[in-house]
Amino acid sequence: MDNGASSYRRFLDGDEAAFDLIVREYREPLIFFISRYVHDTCAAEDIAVDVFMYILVHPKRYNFKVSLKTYLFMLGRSRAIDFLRRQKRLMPLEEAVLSEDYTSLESVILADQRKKAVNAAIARLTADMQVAVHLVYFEELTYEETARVMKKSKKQVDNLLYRAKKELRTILGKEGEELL
Amino acid sequence: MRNHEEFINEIYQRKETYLKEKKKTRKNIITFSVPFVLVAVLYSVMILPAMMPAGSEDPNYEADTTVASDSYVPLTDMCDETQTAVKQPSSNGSPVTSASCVTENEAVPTRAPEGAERTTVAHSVSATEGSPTNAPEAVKPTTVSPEIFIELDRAEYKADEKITLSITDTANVGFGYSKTVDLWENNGGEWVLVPNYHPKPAIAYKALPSSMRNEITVSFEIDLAEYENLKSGERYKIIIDIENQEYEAYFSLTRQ
Repeated sequence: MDNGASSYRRFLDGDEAAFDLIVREYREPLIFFISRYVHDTCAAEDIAVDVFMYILVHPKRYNFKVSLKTYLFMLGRSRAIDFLRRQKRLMPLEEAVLSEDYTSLESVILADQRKKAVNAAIARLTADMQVAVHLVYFEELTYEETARVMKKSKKQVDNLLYRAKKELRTILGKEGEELL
Repeated sequence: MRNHEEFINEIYQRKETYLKEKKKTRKNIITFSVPFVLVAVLYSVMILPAMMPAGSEDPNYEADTTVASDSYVPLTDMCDETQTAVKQPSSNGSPVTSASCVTENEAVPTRAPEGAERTTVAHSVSATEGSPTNAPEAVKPTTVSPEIFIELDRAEYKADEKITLSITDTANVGFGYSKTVDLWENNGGEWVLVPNYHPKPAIAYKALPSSMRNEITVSFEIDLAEYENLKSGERYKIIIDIENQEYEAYFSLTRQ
Protein backbone atom coordinates (compact mmCIF):
# COMPACT_ATOMS: atom_id res chain seq x y z
CA MET A 1 0.00 0.00 0.00
CA ASP A 2 1.53 3.31 -1.05
CA ASN A 3 -0.79 5.51 1.04
CA GLY A 4 -1.70 7.70 -1.91
CA ALA A 5 1.80 8.28 -3.31
CA SER A 6 0.92 6.86 -6.74
CA SER A 7 -2.24 9.01 -6.91
CA TYR A 8 -0.17 12.00 -5.98
CA ARG A 9 2.37 11.25 -8.70
CA ARG A 10 -0.44 11.13 -11.22
CA PHE A 11 -1.78 14.38 -9.80
CA LEU A 12 1.65 15.94 -10.27
CA ASP A 13 1.58 14.76 -13.85
CA GLY A 14 -1.57 16.79 -14.34
CA ASP A 15 -4.21 14.14 -13.81
CA GLU A 16 -7.08 15.99 -12.11
CA ALA A 17 -8.91 12.76 -11.48
CA ALA A 18 -6.03 11.68 -9.25
CA PHE A 19 -6.58 14.71 -7.05
CA ASP A 20 -10.24 13.83 -6.89
CA LEU A 21 -9.25 10.37 -5.81
CA ILE A 22 -6.94 11.68 -3.10
CA VAL A 23 -9.70 13.89 -1.73
CA ARG A 24 -12.18 11.04 -1.85
CA GLU A 25 -9.80 8.78 0.03
CA TYR A 26 -8.53 11.15 2.73
CA ARG A 27 -11.27 13.71 3.22
CA GLU A 28 -13.17 11.96 5.99
CA PRO A 29 -10.20 10.61 7.97
CA LEU A 30 -8.64 14.08 7.80
CA ILE A 31 -11.78 15.86 9.01
CA PHE A 32 -12.19 13.29 11.74
CA PHE A 33 -8.58 13.75 12.80
CA ILE A 34 -8.78 17.56 12.76
CA SER A 35 -11.96 17.49 14.78
CA ARG A 36 -9.94 15.83 17.54
CA TYR A 37 -8.20 19.17 17.90
CA VAL A 38 -10.92 21.68 17.13
CA HIS A 39 -13.94 19.78 18.42
CA ASP A 40 -16.02 21.29 15.70
CA THR A 41 -16.81 19.32 12.57
CA CYS A 42 -17.59 22.39 10.46
CA ALA A 43 -14.32 24.01 11.41
CA ALA A 44 -12.52 20.72 10.82
CA GLU A 45 -14.07 20.48 7.37
CA ASP A 46 -13.03 24.03 6.64
CA ILE A 47 -9.47 23.28 7.71
CA ALA A 48 -9.49 20.13 5.58
CA VAL A 49 -10.48 22.24 2.56
CA ASP A 50 -7.49 24.45 3.33
CA VAL A 51 -5.22 21.44 3.51
CA PHE A 52 -6.31 20.13 0.12
CA MET A 53 -6.18 23.62 -1.34
CA TYR A 54 -2.60 23.89 -0.08
CA ILE A 55 -1.49 20.75 -1.87
CA LEU A 56 -3.31 21.95 -4.97
CA VAL A 57 -1.48 25.30 -4.90
CA HIS A 58 1.89 23.93 -3.79
CA PRO A 59 1.94 20.43 -5.22
CA LYS A 60 5.71 20.16 -5.30
CA ARG A 61 6.19 20.73 -1.60
CA TYR A 62 5.35 17.13 -0.88
CA ASN A 63 8.64 15.25 -1.11
CA PHE A 64 7.39 11.65 -0.82
CA LYS A 65 9.59 11.06 2.22
CA VAL A 66 6.50 10.38 4.29
CA SER A 67 3.25 8.83 3.19
CA LEU A 68 0.67 11.18 1.72
CA LYS A 69 -1.64 10.40 4.60
CA THR A 70 1.03 11.44 7.11
CA TYR A 71 1.70 14.59 5.11
CA LEU A 72 -1.99 15.51 5.03
CA PHE A 73 -2.31 14.86 8.75
CA MET A 74 0.76 16.98 9.44
CA LEU A 75 -0.76 19.84 7.46
CA GLY A 76 -4.10 19.28 9.16
CA ARG A 77 -2.56 19.35 12.62
CA SER A 78 -0.64 22.57 12.07
CA ARG A 79 -3.69 24.28 10.62
CA ALA A 80 -5.87 23.02 13.44
CA ILE A 81 -3.44 24.45 15.96
CA ASP A 82 -3.39 27.74 14.07
CA PHE A 83 -7.15 27.75 14.12
CA LEU A 84 -7.25 27.15 17.85
CA ARG A 85 -4.72 29.88 18.38
CA ARG A 86 -6.84 32.26 16.36
CA GLN A 87 -9.98 31.28 18.13
CA LYS A 88 -8.21 31.27 21.50
CA ARG A 89 -10.41 28.42 22.27
CA LEU A 90 -9.05 25.34 23.89
CA MET A 91 -12.17 23.51 24.76
CA PRO A 92 -11.67 20.32 26.75
CA LEU A 93 -13.21 17.30 25.17
CA GLU A 94 -15.69 16.88 27.99
CA GLU A 95 -17.23 20.18 27.03
CA ALA A 96 -17.14 19.55 23.34
CA VAL A 97 -20.41 19.50 21.54
CA LEU A 98 -20.17 16.76 19.04
CA SER A 99 -22.52 17.42 16.21
CA GLU A 100 -24.51 14.96 14.17
CA ASP A 101 -21.87 15.30 11.50
CA TYR A 102 -19.32 13.99 13.93
CA THR A 103 -21.50 11.01 14.73
CA SER A 104 -21.92 10.23 11.08
CA LEU A 105 -18.21 10.65 10.49
CA GLU A 106 -17.53 8.40 13.43
CA SER A 107 -19.76 5.74 11.98
CA VAL A 108 -17.97 6.03 8.62
CA ILE A 109 -14.45 5.98 10.00
CA LEU A 110 -15.06 3.65 12.91
CA ALA A 111 -17.18 1.04 11.27
CA ASP A 112 -15.84 -1.49 13.66
CA GLN A 113 -17.86 -1.66 16.88
CA ARG A 114 -14.76 -2.25 18.93
CA LYS A 115 -13.19 0.94 17.62
CA LYS A 116 -16.32 2.88 18.54
CA ALA A 117 -16.02 1.67 22.10
CA VAL A 118 -12.38 2.73 22.22
CA ASN A 119 -13.24 6.11 20.69
CA ALA A 120 -15.77 6.72 23.43
CA ALA A 121 -13.23 5.75 26.06
CA ILE A 122 -10.35 7.85 24.77
CA ALA A 123 -12.40 10.98 25.36
CA ARG A 124 -11.19 10.70 28.94
CA LEU A 125 -7.53 10.75 27.96
CA THR A 126 -5.35 13.82 27.60
CA ALA A 127 -5.36 15.58 24.23
CA ASP A 128 -1.94 14.21 23.21
CA MET A 129 -2.92 10.69 24.16
CA GLN A 130 -6.12 11.00 22.20
CA VAL A 131 -4.27 12.10 19.08
CA ALA A 132 -1.66 9.36 19.46
CA VAL A 133 -4.28 6.66 19.94
CA HIS A 134 -6.30 8.07 17.08
CA LEU A 135 -3.41 7.98 14.65
CA VAL A 136 -2.09 4.58 15.65
CA TYR A 137 -5.28 2.78 16.44
CA PHE A 138 -7.80 4.29 14.03
CA GLU A 139 -5.65 5.55 11.19
CA GLU A 140 -3.17 2.71 11.50
CA LEU A 141 -0.15 4.91 11.12
CA THR A 142 3.18 3.61 12.33
CA TYR A 143 4.83 5.04 15.44
CA GLU A 144 7.29 6.92 13.21
CA GLU A 145 4.49 8.44 11.16
CA THR A 146 2.55 9.31 14.29
CA ALA A 147 5.64 10.95 15.73
CA ARG A 148 6.05 13.00 12.54
CA VAL A 149 2.44 14.15 12.56
CA MET A 150 2.57 15.06 16.24
CA LYS A 151 6.04 16.58 15.95
CA LYS A 152 7.29 14.38 18.73
CA SER A 153 9.98 11.74 18.97
CA LYS A 154 9.16 8.11 18.49
CA LYS A 155 10.00 7.49 22.13
CA GLN A 156 7.54 10.16 23.25
CA VAL A 157 4.81 8.59 21.14
CA ASP A 158 5.72 5.22 22.57
CA ASN A 159 5.39 6.59 26.09
CA LEU A 160 2.13 8.33 25.29
CA LEU A 161 0.63 5.17 23.89
CA TYR A 162 1.87 3.08 26.79
CA ARG A 163 0.20 5.41 29.28
CA ALA A 164 -2.90 5.72 27.09
CA LYS A 165 -3.29 1.97 26.95
CA LYS A 166 -2.82 1.71 30.69
CA GLU A 167 -5.52 4.29 31.31
CA LEU A 168 -7.83 2.75 28.72
CA ARG A 169 -7.50 -0.59 30.43
CA THR A 170 -8.61 1.06 33.64
CA ILE A 171 -11.49 2.79 31.88
CA LEU A 172 -12.68 -0.12 29.82
CA GLY A 173 -12.00 -2.81 32.41
CA LYS A 174 -11.78 -6.37 31.37
CA GLU A 175 -13.58 -5.65 28.14
CA GLY A 176 -10.86 -3.20 27.24
CA GLU A 177 -8.18 -5.80 27.53
CA GLU A 178 -9.75 -7.55 24.58
CA LEU A 179 -10.37 -4.37 22.60
CA LEU A 180 -6.77 -3.26 22.82
CA MET B 1 -21.21 18.38 6.05
CA ARG B 2 -20.54 18.91 2.38
CA ASN B 3 -20.66 16.02 0.00
CA HIS B 4 -17.66 15.12 -2.08
CA GLU B 5 -18.55 17.29 -5.08
CA GLU B 6 -19.23 20.33 -2.95
CA PHE B 7 -16.01 19.70 -1.09
CA ILE B 8 -13.99 19.54 -4.32
CA ASN B 9 -15.70 22.69 -5.64
CA GLU B 10 -14.93 24.48 -2.40
CA ILE B 11 -11.26 23.51 -2.75
CA TYR B 12 -11.02 24.88 -6.29
CA GLN B 13 -12.96 27.99 -5.39
CA ARG B 14 -10.71 28.63 -2.44
CA LYS B 15 -7.67 28.08 -4.60
CA GLU B 16 -8.85 30.79 -6.98
CA THR B 17 -9.48 33.18 -4.11
CA TYR B 18 -6.09 32.37 -2.62
CA LEU B 19 -4.28 33.01 -5.89
CA LYS B 20 -6.16 36.26 -6.43
CA GLU B 21 -5.30 37.43 -2.91
CA LYS B 22 -1.69 36.50 -3.42
CA LYS B 23 -1.55 38.43 -6.68
CA LYS B 24 -3.18 41.42 -5.05
CA THR B 25 -0.78 41.32 -2.12
CA ARG B 26 2.19 41.12 -4.46
CA LYS B 27 0.83 44.06 -6.45
CA ASN B 28 0.32 46.06 -3.27
CA ILE B 29 3.83 45.35 -2.11
CA ILE B 30 5.25 46.51 -5.41
CA THR B 31 3.00 49.57 -5.46
CA PHE B 32 4.09 50.65 -2.02
CA SER B 33 7.72 49.63 -2.15
CA VAL B 34 8.67 51.15 -5.50
CA PRO B 35 8.33 54.77 -4.30
CA PHE B 36 10.34 53.93 -1.19
CA VAL B 37 13.06 52.34 -3.25
CA LEU B 38 13.10 55.32 -5.60
CA VAL B 39 13.37 57.75 -2.72
CA ALA B 40 16.15 55.70 -1.15
CA VAL B 41 18.07 55.54 -4.42
CA LEU B 42 17.66 59.25 -5.06
CA TYR B 43 18.69 60.01 -1.52
CA SER B 44 21.79 57.91 -1.72
CA VAL B 45 22.76 59.08 -5.18
CA MET B 46 21.98 62.77 -4.98
CA ILE B 47 21.72 63.89 -1.39
CA LEU B 48 24.24 61.79 0.48
CA PRO B 49 27.21 62.69 -1.69
CA ALA B 50 26.37 66.36 -1.29
CA MET B 51 26.42 65.94 2.46
CA MET B 52 29.81 64.24 2.48
CA PRO B 53 32.56 66.56 3.66
CA ALA B 54 35.57 67.22 1.53
CA GLY B 55 38.47 64.85 2.00
CA SER B 56 36.23 62.05 3.16
CA GLU B 57 37.86 59.70 0.71
CA ASP B 58 40.98 59.56 2.85
CA PRO B 59 41.43 55.86 3.59
CA ASN B 60 43.46 56.60 6.71
CA TYR B 61 40.61 58.48 8.22
CA GLU B 62 40.05 57.15 11.70
CA ALA B 63 38.05 58.15 14.70
CA ASP B 64 39.49 59.11 18.02
CA THR B 65 37.41 61.31 20.20
CA THR B 66 39.09 60.58 23.48
CA VAL B 67 40.44 63.28 25.68
CA ALA B 68 44.05 62.44 26.16
CA SER B 69 44.95 63.37 29.63
CA ASP B 70 48.25 61.64 29.14
CA SER B 71 49.26 64.22 26.62
CA TYR B 72 49.47 66.80 29.32
CA VAL B 73 52.77 68.62 29.08
CA PRO B 74 53.77 71.01 31.82
CA LEU B 75 54.37 74.55 30.83
CA THR B 76 57.98 74.43 31.84
CA ASP B 77 58.59 71.76 29.25
CA MET B 78 57.16 73.66 26.40
CA CYS B 79 57.38 77.27 27.30
CA ASP B 80 60.17 77.96 24.89
CA GLU B 81 58.46 76.18 22.12
CA THR B 82 55.27 78.07 22.68
CA GLN B 83 56.97 81.32 22.91
CA THR B 84 58.53 80.83 19.58
CA ALA B 85 55.32 79.58 18.19
CA VAL B 86 53.49 82.86 18.48
CA LYS B 87 54.35 84.86 15.53
CA GLN B 88 53.37 88.05 13.95
CA PRO B 89 50.73 87.28 11.40
CA SER B 90 52.01 88.10 7.99
CA SER B 91 50.52 88.62 4.62
CA ASN B 92 53.11 86.59 2.83
CA GLY B 93 50.79 83.87 1.77
CA SER B 94 51.06 81.86 4.94
CA PRO B 95 47.81 80.61 6.41
CA VAL B 96 47.85 83.49 8.81
CA THR B 97 44.76 85.59 8.55
CA SER B 98 43.28 88.35 10.58
CA ALA B 99 41.57 87.82 13.87
CA SER B 100 38.07 88.40 13.05
CA CYS B 101 36.61 89.18 16.43
CA VAL B 102 39.46 91.19 17.82
CA THR B 103 38.50 94.66 18.77
CA GLU B 104 40.45 97.71 17.88
CA ASN B 105 43.34 97.23 20.26
CA GLU B 106 43.51 93.50 19.81
CA ALA B 107 46.63 93.57 17.79
CA VAL B 108 48.49 92.41 20.82
CA PRO B 109 48.43 88.73 20.01
CA THR B 110 50.45 89.49 17.00
CA ARG B 111 53.16 90.86 19.18
CA ALA B 112 54.57 87.50 19.77
CA PRO B 113 58.27 86.83 20.17
CA GLU B 114 60.30 87.23 17.12
CA GLY B 115 61.91 84.28 15.48
CA ALA B 116 59.08 81.83 15.81
CA GLU B 117 59.59 78.81 13.64
CA ARG B 118 56.09 77.60 13.25
CA THR B 119 53.42 79.21 11.25
CA THR B 120 50.90 80.84 13.43
CA VAL B 121 47.29 81.23 12.66
CA ALA B 122 45.70 83.72 14.91
CA HIS B 123 42.10 83.05 15.68
CA SER B 124 40.61 85.26 18.18
CA VAL B 125 37.54 84.98 20.24
CA SER B 126 37.50 88.18 22.05
CA ALA B 127 35.04 90.24 23.86
CA THR B 128 36.05 92.90 26.31
CA GLU B 129 38.97 94.86 25.27
CA GLY B 130 40.92 97.18 27.44
CA SER B 131 39.16 97.74 30.65
CA PRO B 132 37.35 94.74 32.00
CA THR B 133 34.60 97.01 33.12
CA ASN B 134 33.61 97.48 29.51
CA ALA B 135 30.50 95.59 28.58
CA PRO B 136 31.60 92.35 26.94
CA GLU B 137 30.71 91.79 23.37
CA ALA B 138 29.03 88.65 22.30
CA VAL B 139 31.45 85.79 22.11
CA LYS B 140 31.70 84.72 18.53
CA PRO B 141 33.90 82.09 17.03
CA THR B 142 36.52 83.17 14.62
CA THR B 143 36.54 81.82 11.15
CA VAL B 144 40.12 82.15 10.12
CA SER B 145 40.30 78.62 8.99
CA PRO B 146 37.09 77.62 7.25
CA GLU B 147 37.17 74.29 9.00
CA ILE B 148 38.10 74.95 12.61
CA PHE B 149 36.62 77.42 15.07
CA ILE B 150 37.51 77.95 18.67
CA GLU B 151 35.20 79.67 21.04
CA LEU B 152 34.91 80.51 24.71
CA ASP B 153 31.60 80.27 26.44
CA ARG B 154 31.89 83.82 27.74
CA ALA B 155 34.07 86.85 27.43
CA GLU B 156 34.41 87.59 31.12
CA TYR B 157 35.21 85.34 33.99
CA LYS B 158 35.90 85.59 37.65
CA ALA B 159 39.21 84.34 38.93
CA ASP B 160 37.74 81.18 40.41
CA GLU B 161 35.58 80.22 37.46
CA LYS B 162 36.04 77.71 34.75
CA ILE B 163 36.38 78.56 31.12
CA THR B 164 34.78 76.26 28.64
CA LEU B 165 36.69 76.23 25.41
CA SER B 166 35.06 74.61 22.41
CA ILE B 167 36.82 73.63 19.26
CA THR B 168 34.55 72.99 16.33
CA ASP B 169 35.74 71.19 13.29
CA THR B 170 33.10 71.96 10.70
CA ALA B 171 34.47 69.98 7.80
CA ASN B 172 35.71 67.20 9.99
CA VAL B 173 39.24 67.76 8.93
CA GLY B 174 40.31 66.14 12.12
CA PHE B 175 43.07 67.09 14.47
CA GLY B 176 45.27 65.00 16.64
CA TYR B 177 46.72 65.65 20.03
CA SER B 178 46.95 69.21 21.02
CA LYS B 179 49.69 69.58 23.54
CA THR B 180 49.75 73.25 24.10
CA VAL B 181 46.93 75.07 25.74
CA ASP B 182 48.63 78.13 27.04
CA LEU B 183 47.44 81.07 29.04
CA TRP B 184 49.00 84.39 28.32
CA GLU B 185 48.61 87.71 30.05
CA ASN B 186 49.04 91.19 28.77
CA ASN B 187 51.92 92.68 30.62
CA GLY B 188 52.24 96.30 29.73
CA GLY B 189 51.27 95.77 26.15
CA GLU B 190 53.33 92.62 25.74
CA TRP B 191 51.93 89.18 25.97
CA VAL B 192 53.76 86.89 28.33
CA LEU B 193 53.00 83.41 29.52
CA VAL B 194 51.25 83.16 32.83
CA PRO B 195 53.58 81.36 35.19
CA ASN B 196 52.52 78.17 36.92
CA TYR B 197 49.96 77.50 34.30
CA HIS B 198 49.04 73.86 34.07
CA PRO B 199 46.98 73.13 31.02
CA LYS B 200 44.89 70.27 32.14
CA PRO B 201 42.97 68.80 29.29
CA ALA B 202 44.86 68.34 26.17
CA ILE B 203 42.65 67.47 23.28
CA ALA B 204 42.74 64.34 21.31
CA TYR B 205 40.42 64.23 18.46
CA LYS B 206 40.82 62.69 15.10
CA ALA B 207 38.42 62.60 12.26
CA LEU B 208 35.55 60.26 12.31
CA PRO B 209 34.90 57.59 9.70
CA SER B 210 33.45 58.89 6.48
CA SER B 211 29.95 57.76 7.42
CA MET B 212 30.03 60.05 10.47
CA ARG B 213 31.84 63.00 9.01
CA ASN B 214 30.14 66.14 9.92
CA GLU B 215 30.65 69.04 12.20
CA ILE B 216 32.09 67.99 15.53
CA THR B 217 32.83 70.03 18.61
CA VAL B 218 35.28 69.15 21.34
CA SER B 219 34.98 71.12 24.56
CA PHE B 220 37.11 71.23 27.64
CA GLU B 221 37.41 73.32 30.73
CA ILE B 222 40.16 75.50 32.05
CA ASP B 223 39.88 76.05 35.76
CA LEU B 224 41.08 79.54 36.49
CA ALA B 225 41.13 78.82 40.21
CA GLU B 226 44.14 76.66 39.64
CA TYR B 227 46.25 79.55 38.48
CA GLU B 228 47.71 81.87 40.95
CA ASN B 229 48.28 85.52 40.43
CA LEU B 230 45.56 86.09 37.89
CA LYS B 231 44.61 89.70 38.19
CA SER B 232 41.19 91.16 38.03
CA GLY B 233 40.68 93.60 35.29
CA GLU B 234 43.36 92.08 33.16
CA ARG B 235 42.96 90.58 29.77
CA TYR B 236 44.23 87.13 29.04
CA LYS B 237 44.49 85.02 26.02
CA ILE B 238 44.50 81.33 25.45
CA ILE B 239 46.63 79.91 22.72
CA ILE B 240 45.88 76.44 21.60
CA ASP B 241 48.00 74.50 19.23
CA ILE B 242 46.10 72.33 16.83
CA GLU B 243 48.06 70.44 14.29
CA ASN B 244 50.90 72.95 14.37
CA GLN B 245 48.59 75.87 13.98
CA GLU B 246 47.83 78.15 16.82
CA TYR B 247 44.42 79.46 17.63
CA GLU B 248 43.76 82.22 20.09
CA ALA B 249 40.87 83.23 22.28
CA TYR B 250 40.67 86.21 24.60
CA PHE B 251 38.90 86.82 27.85
CA SER B 252 38.94 89.20 30.75
CA LEU B 253 38.87 88.72 34.45
CA THR B 254 36.32 90.77 36.29
CA ARG B 255 36.94 92.40 39.60
CA GLN B 256 35.91 90.42 42.60
